[in-house]
Amino acid sequence: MLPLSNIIEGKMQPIPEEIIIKASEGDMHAFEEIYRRASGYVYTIAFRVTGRREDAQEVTQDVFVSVYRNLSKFRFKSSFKTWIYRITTNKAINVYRKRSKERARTVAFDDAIDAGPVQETGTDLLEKEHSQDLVRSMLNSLPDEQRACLVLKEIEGLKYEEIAETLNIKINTVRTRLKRAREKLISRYRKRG
Amino acid sequence: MKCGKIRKMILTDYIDGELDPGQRKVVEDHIRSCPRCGELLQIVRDAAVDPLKRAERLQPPEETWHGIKGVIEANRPESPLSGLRERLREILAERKPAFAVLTASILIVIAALVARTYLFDRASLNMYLEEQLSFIDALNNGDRENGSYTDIGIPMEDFLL
Repeated sequence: MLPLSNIIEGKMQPIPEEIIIKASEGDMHAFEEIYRRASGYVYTIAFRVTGRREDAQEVTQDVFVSVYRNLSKFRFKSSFKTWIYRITTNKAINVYRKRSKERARTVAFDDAIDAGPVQETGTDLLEKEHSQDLVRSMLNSLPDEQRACLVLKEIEGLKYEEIAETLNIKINTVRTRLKRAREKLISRYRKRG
Repeated sequence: MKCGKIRKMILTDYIDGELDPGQRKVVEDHIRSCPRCGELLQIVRDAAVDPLKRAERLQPPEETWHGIKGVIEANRPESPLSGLRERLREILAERKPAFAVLTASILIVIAALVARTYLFDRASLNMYLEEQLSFIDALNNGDRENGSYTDIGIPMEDFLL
């Protein structure tokens, strides 16, 4: 099993084919290895797209159950990493849309937005919280498709080609969504002074 | 290159590192000579790129894995052979004396059958050989009365002649 420090920085590293094959044959140790390597990326995308930890946890669980059930159908035509990113963004966007509909019906939604339990104190924590709040409010100000593009680009560090493959869109569409998202963020930044 | 095109590149390909070295140099030369495009690059970084790049990468709580494992194991289909294997193991473990008696009985029956067949074959062979020997002996002695060739009641030579 990889130590945590090796798997939480940078882009998700490719997962060896033999681990994927073993997991597809029902080997739970191999599947846990996949989970340990990829869950941080899945959870981070899910949290950045949905904005809520409990939704991110639900999405992460759904993604890995779905991956396990469909492993035997995976034919290595696309990268395994892209496949996981695709399932994650689709599920996260769906959950976000579902929550948005619920939000339209209730005012309490905003109060339920969760930044996680506060256990630390001090200036560092305040800065960290400020930074987390800033990221969340920036992403929340964007339409879900632009947000997904921006998360894959800025937080996951994917290239345009990888984003296009993940979201099943053209590279020019990736470019357009990123441009519009950044224009919105700049406009918001200027308004706030 | 005009500002409009450079500004589009600043918002996308340039800031995202998607340009080749030649195109990158063109944009950088333009920015050095154009304060408005230089200002745009700075504001893109401050407003839309750096806060997101600094965003913390998160890890799901450990209970997430237990939840996933629970769902998978609860929905795992039973293998038809696994049940059979378990049943056989139970039977063999619980009924050893009965199986020992049954196996011994089967072995005794098989041994008896083999012995019987073997002895029967020896007796038949001996009988056959004795008959053949007495027949040859009768031929040698010219004893017509003692040969089986007289069974039809007519001397063979008379019949042939």
